[in-house]
Amino acid sequence: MPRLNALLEHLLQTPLLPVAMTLIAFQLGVQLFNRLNRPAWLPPIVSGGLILVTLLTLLPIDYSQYYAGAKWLSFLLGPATVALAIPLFLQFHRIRALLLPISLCLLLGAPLAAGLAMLIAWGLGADPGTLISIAPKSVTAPIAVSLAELLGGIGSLAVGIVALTGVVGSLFAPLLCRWMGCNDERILGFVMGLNGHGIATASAFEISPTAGAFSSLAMGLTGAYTALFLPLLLPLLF
Amino acid sequence: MIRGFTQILLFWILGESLHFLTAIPISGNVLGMLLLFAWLLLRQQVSPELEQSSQALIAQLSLLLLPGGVGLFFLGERMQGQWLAVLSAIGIGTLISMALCILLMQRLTPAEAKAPANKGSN
Repeated sequence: MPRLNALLEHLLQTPLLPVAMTLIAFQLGVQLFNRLNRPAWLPPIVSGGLILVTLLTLLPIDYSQYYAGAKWLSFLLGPATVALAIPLFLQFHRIRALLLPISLCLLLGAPLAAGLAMLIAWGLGADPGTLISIAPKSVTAPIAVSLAELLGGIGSLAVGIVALTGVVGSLFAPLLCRWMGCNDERILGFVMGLNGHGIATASAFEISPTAGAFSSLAMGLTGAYTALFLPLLLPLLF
Repeated sequence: MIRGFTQILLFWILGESLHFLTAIPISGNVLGMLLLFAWLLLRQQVSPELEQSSQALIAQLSLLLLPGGVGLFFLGERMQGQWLAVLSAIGIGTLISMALCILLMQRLTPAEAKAPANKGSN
């Protein structure tokens, strides 16, 4: 038994074990997602996350020990965020099709998504660190993590909030749209991307290529715009 | 692939340097994204290499987010008594903001839909 503990310690000295655990959990999550016919309520980031948490709880590994190794994967979030400029550029021409509704909806909708959520959480007693982590909830996760950490929130909490928001957006945007008598797929796509970022964009592509394209555009615009206004506005509140 | 990845890293360094030198309250990677976007708008094209590298990175976003994301379950006492607030903000907040966005876009979109009709009458 002491030898086994020593082995674990040895394997934790390099990023090997944490990185492998993350890859395994994620692939199990993807398999589950495919087996269940790609349900919008259980994207791989949620199922993979739950599997990873189970692994970490079963094995005698602290989260801090795990993260010390797995942060090498997180490092790649840096270039992945920069890379978001490319799909934004490729979808940018679509803005011309609906210039006025898109720009107004973005200008008002993105601060609204952040402000409403913060207001509700504030009313229910969330502390400032939590409120800051909620603010970027509709922004694609890599940008949300940067924003939350920059402004004094909690990165992990922001990832979880962003993922859940994406699930809510994927599930309810199509229902809400139908209920409100909106049958324009461009509007549906745009609303999904603005509120539910990448997770909702993935579902939007399953509805139609048009919905997906407008969702990608909205995701990119919301990310870039929120990254600009949140650091300017948020310090005024705290 | 490596060429595209290097370009991305260079824009990240540029963003990081700008953040550090000017104290702009936007993180370096996000500034790098904005700079790259501006550069692409100026050039009006993306090299296939850059597109390939960006796709490879973006396709793995969920995986890259897992290590930080699971930290959510290890916040412990830090979040005591706040989960109701967080979940309500996500659920109710997102529903209301989506409904308002749909309403706003519905109001504004008809003007665009009329355009082809006007063209026909000209």
